[in-house]
Amino acid sequence: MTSRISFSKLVRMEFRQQIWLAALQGLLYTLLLPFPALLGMSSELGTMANRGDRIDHFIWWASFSRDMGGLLALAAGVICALCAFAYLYSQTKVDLYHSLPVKRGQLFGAKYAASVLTFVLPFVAAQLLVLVVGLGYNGVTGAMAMEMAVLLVQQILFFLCSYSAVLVAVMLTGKLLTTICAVLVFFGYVPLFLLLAQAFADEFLYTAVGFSNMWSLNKATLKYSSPWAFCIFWGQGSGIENGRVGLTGSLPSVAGLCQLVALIVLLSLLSLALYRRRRSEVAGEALAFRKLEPVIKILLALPAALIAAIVALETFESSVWAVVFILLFGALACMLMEFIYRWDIRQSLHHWQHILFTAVAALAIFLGFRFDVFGYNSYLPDQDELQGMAVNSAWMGNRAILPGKETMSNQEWLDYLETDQVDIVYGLAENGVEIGDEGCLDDTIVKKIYVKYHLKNGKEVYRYYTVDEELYFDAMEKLCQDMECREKYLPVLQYTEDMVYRIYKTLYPNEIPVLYSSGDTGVEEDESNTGESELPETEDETSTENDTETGIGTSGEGDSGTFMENLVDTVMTVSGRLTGDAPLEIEVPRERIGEVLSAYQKDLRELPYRTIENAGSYLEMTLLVGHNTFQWSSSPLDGSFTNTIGLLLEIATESGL
Amino acid sequence: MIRVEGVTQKFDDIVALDQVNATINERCIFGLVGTNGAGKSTLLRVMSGILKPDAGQVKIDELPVWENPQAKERICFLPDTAYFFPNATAATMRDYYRVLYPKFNADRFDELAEQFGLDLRRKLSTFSKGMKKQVSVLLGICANTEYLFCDETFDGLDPVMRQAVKSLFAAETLNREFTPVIASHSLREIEDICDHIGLLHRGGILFAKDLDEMKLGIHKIQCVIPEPAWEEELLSELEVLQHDKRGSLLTVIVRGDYEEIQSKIQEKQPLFSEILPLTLEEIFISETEVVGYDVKNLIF
Repeated sequence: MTSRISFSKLVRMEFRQQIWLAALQGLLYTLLLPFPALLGMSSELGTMANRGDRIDHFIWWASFSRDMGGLLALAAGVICALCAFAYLYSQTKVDLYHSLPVKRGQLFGAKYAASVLTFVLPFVAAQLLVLVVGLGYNGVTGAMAMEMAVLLVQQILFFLCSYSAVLVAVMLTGKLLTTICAVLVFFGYVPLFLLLAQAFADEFLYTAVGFSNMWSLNKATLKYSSPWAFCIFWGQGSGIENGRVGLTGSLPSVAGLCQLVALIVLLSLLSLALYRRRRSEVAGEALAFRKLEPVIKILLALPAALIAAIVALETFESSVWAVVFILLFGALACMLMEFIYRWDIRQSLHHWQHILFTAVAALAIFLGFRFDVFGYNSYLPDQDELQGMAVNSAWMGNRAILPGKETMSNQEWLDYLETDQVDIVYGLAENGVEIGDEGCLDDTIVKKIYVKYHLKNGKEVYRYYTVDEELYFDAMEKLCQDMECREKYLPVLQYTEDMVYRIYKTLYPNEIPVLYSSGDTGVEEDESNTGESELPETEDETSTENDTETGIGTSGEGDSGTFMENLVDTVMTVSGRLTGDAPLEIEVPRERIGEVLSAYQKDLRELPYRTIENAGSYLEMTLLVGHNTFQWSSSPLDGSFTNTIGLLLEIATESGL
Repeated sequence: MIRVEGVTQKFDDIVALDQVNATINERCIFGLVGTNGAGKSTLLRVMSGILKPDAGQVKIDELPVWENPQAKERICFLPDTAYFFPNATAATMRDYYRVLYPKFNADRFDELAEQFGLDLRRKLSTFSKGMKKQVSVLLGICANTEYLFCDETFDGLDPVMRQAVKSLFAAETLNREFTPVIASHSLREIEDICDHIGLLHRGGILFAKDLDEMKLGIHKIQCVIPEPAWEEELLSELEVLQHDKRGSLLTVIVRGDYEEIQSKIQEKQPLFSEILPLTLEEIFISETEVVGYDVKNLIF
């Protein structure tokens, strides 16, 4: 039962119907490719002395902007799909096409192929014109022609991905308006859902870890949120180097390429299946499949009601208003959807059960979060169930650098810091659950900490708590008695001399122990000089603790008499220069880096953890982590670090500062 | 031959066609008549393979029509409102049909277009409604398919063109294997050209018969019966579809054999009796009245 009609003839006929679209695209690509190439080459010919320059320059023109090219291909996919299958919106047109003696699959294929041609032919023609321009300037090579071929393949893939995704929307709908709405929903639903989830987490899951930066944490999710997002992320991943793309430049990942091809095949098959199942009589109706109406309505109205609840909470700071908004906007969203379906305002309340369901479901979700029905914030497993735990404060994430590691997230730090001293950390977690979202109890100074539970069944749970600061430092002192553990919390202890490329310190007068404790300098203690602005937010709550810890009498009790004498001499030598608020900029000479590092590590081993974390200033280090690869580390350092400060002052004196 | 076998077509809650059965033989001109919303256009769309019926099937020369290019090559559907591509000319549409219908006769199309005074190079969007209809009919005729389904084809054509199109249909039927199926509510047009009639009412087919046979089986009688009792007796003896009495003149539309009816009337010793020819419109009204589609119910 096959048609005798030639498929190629059918494609040709369809292409003739869409030739205006090809002409339009041809004009656009001519303006974007050969035309600028010609202008660019002719205007800059004088600056290109040899052929190599010309080739390099021409590659830049010929490669087309990857981002812009990708976006154009995606846009072309949307427009071509809408134009090729717009007949499905009109009963008159459907009568013609579906009465023809061709199978629907064949008609689909012909339209699909014709659309691809309307995109590919003008693009290839524009590329050929670019080559002609290049030949005129003797700036073409075989490799560059290959670059252009690879670019063409990418453009086609982007086009097909966008085209087939829009086809799915076309097949699900019966009107142009609803198709456009469907495309927007395909594109924006997942990102909107993620934003909503983050808003709910921010508002209610105050112990959650991982919602603080939706973009970085949900990048993977966003990449897969829509076919268009996938292409955009994939295009970014493939990059562009010196104007080169493809074979001689930066080639997109093969895995990504396979995923993209699979996505195109999947979307194309899905749209074909929908096209075959779609009934001709749905032309002009909002949705092609009536059974989907309630599902789509609720899937859209429910987030709308929840977004309204968040807006009400942010605006009025009242749960009552949030409930009112849920009911109001949930109902309005349902009514709007019903209006779009029926195009009759009188039928807005037609399926009142859907409004009821939306309101009840939205209320259940909102109240569930509001009252923590699932016990997310009060989660505290039995101590017996735990295999390990970890704790850290925001201070760690902001300041500590592991050599050779990129900036680590709070979760990654917790994984790194995990310990089997569960009983120490568990007390903190209990305190965190007890304090809850209150912020502080009475006059207790609190601290924000991250905690990890590693259960014996393998489950790992991360939480963010507000705890009593005293409890936190007590626990940290206990943990850091174990030197291995201390090295983890203070990664500088793991640094070796050959890792450190540079050490630098901006020394303020109040960081010099003797002067500070005796008050001889006449410099009043000024918090602003100690680099407080660099501290993490949580430090604000604990700043008063610095004062008692920075005196030499407290921290220098274990030092030898000789060292102290030398230190005082040194201090007295430079004291004339360390007056007023002017800091001393100390650059450690390369030959003394090892010495300073050792002194600093000695201080880190000996000082109480509280003193270290509360240090008001920092020692700047540049680490050499690979061939010409550097990392920058800021480690705590103030007057309490007598060994380091003394040595730095000595260096400063020798340097004649 | 076209077989419509138990076709049911629903649009949401509306049953457009309900278990429709019909057979349309080759080389007849089949008129599809029916009340408004009876399902004429829907039946044509199902027969053309545009709509997939919820139940039943349509066979063209024993081939199921749904998604079957071999069956669909034998039919051409001319909808009520023809669609032409944007900026298309008659020549453009001719070329398109030539690709899709293997037996399309382009020379004949050009010839007929010239006879009809249609400019092949003029954009169809500048054509009047009637001219577009002419192009549509010519495309259908020249597709050279065995079956041509026409939905309200005579709407918009002037009387001369109607006659021309009717002549074309008649000539085609004589010259080749050609079976036009014409759906219309203009019973005069149908009566002029069709030799077979199918009557649709509320999604069901009331009958499908030869027009002459139908006219032989249904009669309109005007008579004056002297005794009211005999009149009552006569009405009960006949298969009356419709009757009306004005003064002493009784008008009756009855189904049955002519001779038999005549003899029963004569038995009542009428003062006057006459059997009048019945138009298709009268047959339509009588038949649909039987199933409750009575004009009296629509007049307030």
